[in-house]
Parts: sequence; structure tokens; C-alpha cells
Amino acid sequence: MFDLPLFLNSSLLSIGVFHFFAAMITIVSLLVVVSQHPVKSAVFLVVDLFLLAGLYASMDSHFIAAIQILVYAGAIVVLFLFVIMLLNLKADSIKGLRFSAPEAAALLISFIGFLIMTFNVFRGQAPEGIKGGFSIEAIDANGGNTYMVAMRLLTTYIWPFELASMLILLAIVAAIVIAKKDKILKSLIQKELR
Amino acid sequence: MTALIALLMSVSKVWKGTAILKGFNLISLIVAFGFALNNFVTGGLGVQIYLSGGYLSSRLGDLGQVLILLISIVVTQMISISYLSSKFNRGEIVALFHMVIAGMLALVGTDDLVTFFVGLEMASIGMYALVGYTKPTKISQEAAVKYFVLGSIAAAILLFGFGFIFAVTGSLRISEIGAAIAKVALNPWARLGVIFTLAGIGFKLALVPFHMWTADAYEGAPTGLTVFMATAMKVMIVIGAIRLFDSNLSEVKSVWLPALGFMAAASLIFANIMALAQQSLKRLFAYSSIAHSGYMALSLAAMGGVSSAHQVPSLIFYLIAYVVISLGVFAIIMWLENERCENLMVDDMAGLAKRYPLTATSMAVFMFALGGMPPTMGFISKFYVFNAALSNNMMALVVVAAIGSTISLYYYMRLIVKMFMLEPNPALENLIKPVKSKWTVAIVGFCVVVVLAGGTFAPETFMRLAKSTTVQSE
Repeated sequence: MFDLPLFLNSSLLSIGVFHFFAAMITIVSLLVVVSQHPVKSAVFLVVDLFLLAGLYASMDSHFIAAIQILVYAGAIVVLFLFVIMLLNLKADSIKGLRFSAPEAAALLISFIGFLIMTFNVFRGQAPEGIKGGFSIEAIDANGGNTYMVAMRLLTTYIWPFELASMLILLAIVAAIVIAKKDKILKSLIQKELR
Repeated sequence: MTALIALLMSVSKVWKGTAILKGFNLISLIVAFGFALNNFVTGGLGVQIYLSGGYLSSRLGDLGQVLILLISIVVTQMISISYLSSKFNRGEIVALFHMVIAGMLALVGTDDLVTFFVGLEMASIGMYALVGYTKPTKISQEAAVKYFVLGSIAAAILLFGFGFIFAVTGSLRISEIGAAIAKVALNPWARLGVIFTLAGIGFKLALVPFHMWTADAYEGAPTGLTVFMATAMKVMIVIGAIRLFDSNLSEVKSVWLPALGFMAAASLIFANIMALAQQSLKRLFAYSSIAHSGYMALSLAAMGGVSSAHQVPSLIFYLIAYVVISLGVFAIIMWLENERCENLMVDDMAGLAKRYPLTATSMAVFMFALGGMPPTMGFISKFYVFNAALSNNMMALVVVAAIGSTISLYYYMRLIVKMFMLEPNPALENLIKPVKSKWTVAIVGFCVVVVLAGGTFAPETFMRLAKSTTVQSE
């Protein structure tokens, strides 16, 4: 078997659990992309995010796992489902994928490159795992996951944290600009389409 | 200082009046520029770190902020006097614009990979929206979607790279990573992280394997935003790349140097050849900007070399030259185009010298500068870059760059030939009707003066400015 990074070895749960989750996540992610009906895709996405939360939990990151379930699986994908239902999307009608010769060649080359990269990466020695203040022992000694995350977020990383809130504001403004029905814009678009 | 802009920006959404907004937009940028300039002039050579690495006050970052704010002011003014004014000077668009600038400022002044990434995303996401929806047409929305999809993938790859780097070094501080990664340089995970980071940076710089979005996004975007993408985004990424690769990742240069060298060479050859066939002016300058990214990558690659004396100053010098020339070129293009006649073709420039001799002459100066002809800053900047690469034994890359530069002369000269030796197309007489504007004269005049001065009697001044930024990075 491949030599896994140490931060997985040292966790409470065994490598077998990791392999189970990894395989499941790969399969379910493929199903998300391959499913023809958008609702099916979204439901698979929920399953996918739950599995990801399981992976986090197996690495002793319980806080992230909980947040993953609450925010992603609980809120965001449910919003996805709402939007899908509001828009009343039908199953995708595209039947099979067809590649032209250059596309197929590009795909093949990328795949070979990917294989070489994967082989080289796993052949070498695994990283020693997370060191310093973020090893599992250090986190336990310092009051647990939630405490550490909160402390870091509101002291060391307060600046990127604030910036991230502005990033979200920016995304909201951008989304509204795109979605809003502006009379000037509308006439412009119609002029363009004519 | 960046927070200042953020605060002002949120107010700008409240005021909807165009005239107030226009003035407000400009004034807030000028105030921020004043602060940045003050920082740059009075700040010592040392590095001060605030917010535990989140904000870093250094010569390099300060210079980047000054440049970005200067570009923003010029671009705002250029847009305000063009036909795009009523579309651009709307509350939400200006707010987006300011948030993009804030993201850029955050990126150039940081020592922290998290802030780096958040700043990059702010700049990119804002740009995706601005490209498509400042002046919504089919072509600009197509450009925005392409830019968005490819940009998101690149951001994901960059984040992946940062993740690997964090996993092997255990640090998110760029200055600490340098020492930590040297110990694990042979680790494949570290290599993967560095390569992914390089790919993300290469995408944002539009180097050749990752250049697919550039021509479409540049052509589809309103011209004012094209120039913003071509200059401010480049300043941001180049400064960020200097932070990452100079001295910090130089311990693992065996990993990224061949890849970066390949990207530089490919950009120089491919982009110049592609530019030969372009008819649209904006597409032409898109490919030309890919080629110039190639020169910058060449100089970035020189950082991995043996002597570390010239590379960063030469890169900064090249960056300043490129920014000034691009601003001038696009100011002229924006001046010529209008509501009915956007996206000018190369043929539209025919006979420009007969109708607007001064404009054509300044355009010719910029073309000579972009092509790297002697009396301009373009020549000196190329000279420094080649010199830096040569002193690091990169003969092959310099030869490639020289060949690319020769190819590029053809399409720059073609424009000059069109402007000076052909008769104007009478059908266009009615279409191209630029309004007289003091601001265009001022901007173009300033750029011409800087380009000529930088090439004749003042390159030392600019070089000293560029050199002063490197004191901290060693």
C-alpha cells in the first residue's frame, strides 16, 4: 500500500477508516458530476459533504467536521435544492460525451501526466505531519479544537478574517449586480440581441 | 490604509448621484494614494510587521500599493471622460471597483498565505463581475464566464499548492516558509505544492500554458477595465510572486526554475506569433501583454540563479515601464473609441497621423517602447532584464527572448506603418470622433515624457527606486 502522510497515521482511527471515506468520497463525487438530474446531483453533494465531515472527524478535527455538516450540508446545499426547485430544472438532455481528436489527445496527455505525478509523489517519503503548535497533542493541551480555532481566528488571523468578510460582501454585491433587473442594462442587452 | 478604502467604499453605495459619486470615487482614491505615497517616501528601509504577519510594511509592498493606486486613479479618470462614464459611475460598480483595489492592496502588503489568497480572490471575483456587467453585451458576458470558470480553477490549484506547502512546512508565513522548506526540499509533497503555486501564479500572470482566457477577457471587457487588468493585476501578481519566489522559495529552485523557464520561453514565442495574426487592437495588446509577462517571468526565473544582484530591480523596472506604456496606449485607444465604435481594429488606425498627428506620434513612441527600441524606457527595461538573466547563465532563455522580441517588432511596426503611411478610411471619419479632453492630453503626455525620460537621461533614477525595494528581501 502507499505510504500515507503521518498526520493520518497518528489519528485515533485507523488507516482503514481513511480508505473507506476516501473511496466513498471519490465515488459519490463522481456521481454528483455524472447524474443527469440536478436534484440527484444535489443530494449526492449532501452525501459527499457528510463523508467529508467524517474524514475531518477521523483526523481529530471535530470542530471543522461539525461546521462542515451545519454550514455546508445543512444550509448551503439545501439552498441549492431550493434554487433547483424554484427554477424547475429538468434532467440534462446531453446524452453522451464526444471528444474531438485534439481534445482526446489533451485528455490522454493530462492523464499520463497525472499518473506520473501521483506515482512520484507517493513513491517518496511522506511528510512528517503537521508540526509545531498544531499537532494533535498541542491542540489537546491548549484547550481543544474549538478554542484553538477561535483564538487563532480572532487574534493571529484577524486581518484575513476581516478581509474574508469583505470578500463575501463583494461576492454578494457582484451577484446582485449580475442578477438585478436594470432598465438601462435591459435595453442595452436587447439592443445587442437585436 | 486599505481599511480606509473599505470604509469609504461602503458609503459610496449610499450616494447614487453620478456627479457626487464621480468626485467621491476620485477623492477617496487620491486620499488613499496620498497615504501610500507618504508611507513609501517616509517609510524606512526596514520591514515592519503588523497584525502578526497579516500586514507587512516594506519598500516592495509600498511601491506596489503606490503603483496600484496610481493606476486606479488614472483608470478612473480615463473611464470618467469616456463614453463608459455613465455605466461605470454607478454606486455598485464603483463599490466593486474599490473592493477589487482593496484586495490588491492587501495582497501586495502581506506576509501571510491566507491574506495572500483572500486578497487575490477579492481582486479576481470583483474583476469577473466588472468585466461582464459594467457594460453588458454578449461578448463581454462570454468573456466574464470564461474568465470566471478558468480563474476559479486556477485559484483552486493555487490554494491546493498553499495547502501542500503548509502541510510540509507547518507555517503560513511566507518569510518562515523559506527556511522551513529548505529542510524538506526533496519531499515530493513540497514539490507538488511549489509547482501548484507556480501554476496558479502563472495563470494570473497569463503565461503561456495558462493563457487561454486572456485574449477573450481583454477583448470582451470594456477598455477601461482591460487596461486595469493589464496593469494593476500584473503589478499585484508580480509583487506577490517576488515575495513568494525571491529568497523564500529559492531554496527549492530546482523544482520551479525549469517550469518557470519553460513558461517564459513558451509565452515569448507563442504570444508573439499569435499577435501577428490579430486584427482587433485589444486582442493584439492582449497577446502583447502575454509576451511581456514572458519577459517578467524571465526576470523572475533569473532570481533562482547564482547571483542575486540585479533580478528584482530589473523586474520592478520592467514592471514600471510596462505599466506606464500600457496606460498611455490604452488612454489613446479609449480616447478614440466611442459608443458606436468600440473594439477598434488595426485597420482603423490607418491614416491616424493625418488626422491626429500628435496622437499618432505618441502612439508611435509607445509602440517603439513596447518593441524595445533604444530611445525609450522599453529598451532600457529589456536591457536590464536580459542583463539579469545573462548574469545568471540563462543564455538559452535570453536567445529565445531576443527572437520573441524581434517577432514582436513586426506587429508593433505594422501599426506605425498603418498610422503614418496609409490614407485614412473615409467611412470611419464619421465614426471616430474623439472629444477634446485635457485629461487625455495630460495622461498621454505624462506617459510619453516618462517613457522618453526613462530611456534617455533618467533610467538611473528609476533603477535607484527599483533597487531600494530589494533591501528588505535579503
